Amino acid sequence: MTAASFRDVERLSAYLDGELSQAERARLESRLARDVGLSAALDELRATRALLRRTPRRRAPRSFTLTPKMAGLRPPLPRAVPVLRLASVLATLLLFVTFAGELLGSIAMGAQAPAPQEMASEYGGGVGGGPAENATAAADKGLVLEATPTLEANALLAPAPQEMTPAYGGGVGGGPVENTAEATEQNITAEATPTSGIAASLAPQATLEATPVPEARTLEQPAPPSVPPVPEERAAKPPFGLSPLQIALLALAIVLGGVAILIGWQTRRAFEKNVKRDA
Amino acid sequence: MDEPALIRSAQRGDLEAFNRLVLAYQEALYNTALRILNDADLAADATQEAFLSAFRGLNGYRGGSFRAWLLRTVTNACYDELRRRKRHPTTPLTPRDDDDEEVEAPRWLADPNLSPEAQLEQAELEHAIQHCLDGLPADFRAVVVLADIQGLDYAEVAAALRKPIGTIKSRLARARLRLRECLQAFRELLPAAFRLEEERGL
Repeated sequence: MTAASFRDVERLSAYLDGELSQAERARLESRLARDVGLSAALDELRATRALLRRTPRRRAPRSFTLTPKMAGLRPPLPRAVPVLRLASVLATLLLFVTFAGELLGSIAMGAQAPAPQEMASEYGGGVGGGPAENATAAADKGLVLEATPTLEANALLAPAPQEMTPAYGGGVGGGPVENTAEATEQNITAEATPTSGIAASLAPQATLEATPVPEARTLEQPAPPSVPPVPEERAAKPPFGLSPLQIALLALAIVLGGVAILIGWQTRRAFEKNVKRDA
Repeated sequence: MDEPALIRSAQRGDLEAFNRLVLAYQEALYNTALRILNDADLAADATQEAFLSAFRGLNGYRGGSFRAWLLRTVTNACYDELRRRKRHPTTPLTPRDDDDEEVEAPRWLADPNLSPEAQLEQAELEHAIQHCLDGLPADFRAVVVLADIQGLDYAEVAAALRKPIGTIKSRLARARLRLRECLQAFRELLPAAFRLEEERGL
């Protein structure tokens, strides 16, 4: 009578549970017939298993059913809700992309002069942003070239665009006022110092295309054809400096998100009513 | 309604269908937790927690033995509890003697339909088994509780514990071997129960 090895105990245990393959079972049964020790080990395992199977079962102390509240139940939402939510999120993301575009544009330009940076940040991302940026970029060059000799010219030029923006925000009748504002502006700067006058006249000129600096000297007066396009662009701007595209995106995000929330809320309310009625 | 239909309804969020499954399985889950944790209150908590997580994760059930799937949620809840207990050991409420044995068997839970003698025997058997189960490492205890007390086959135990069948087979053999040695110490206390087994063994 030899003590069964663990491999044998494992086999005997699986044999009891009917978990041996047919070949394994046949081999074990023929060994069991010859080996008394092995069959004694089997009997002990069988007795242990039988005892464990007789473990008294206790009744559940209470019911473990879930209440809707415990389950944190939410009604199945209509398909439209996730779609609307996604669309709202996408619109918001696009809005931020346009903002980011403006920011990048202004950073690229802002390193040179602080004043045009403000303008760029307002115009960069919009529909008509491209030309405006060109204009300010060109104006920058003019500033750098011309304004360096005199500090005075810088001081006069720098605040000018900032002051202009509120004036253009005015609305429909803004056009002519803007023109005169710019004109007087340039007159003032022109009077102040010779160099600043050149710089001022450079700005509108730049919208046409970068022209050599000497030519600018001949254009002491503001060049009329180049001025109107700038106010037109500005006139399209709403008070908060958002482009039409940005406004559309913002409205889309708010409307779609709002509709999604509304549908979700109504579904949940109807569902809670049903639950209460069932209970 | 049959079980697969109830499960499908529950998966669509039908709480009533799920609660019918709860009523069908709560005893199995509770007794599993009770044998692994050896604490009625903690076992009830683990059972409730298991049914909650089962309802939330019901879409993760992809066929196979639903009982094994449910028992997995309760063994997971028990393992969580055992880990908590390891971190924050508490003094048990039941009176214990110097050998850390429960002084009194939980007689109040025995089946009232049995004779007083049989009740005593039941209580002693339960006490002996629980004591021996407690002496096993948690992994082995879970295997033997699922296989021998809940009656799951190897594939179901493997699914419930997410272990290969080979591991289940070897752990179950080792657990039975150790339980046999442990239970033999109770032979004198459990004459009737053991006599029965000895007769069968001969």
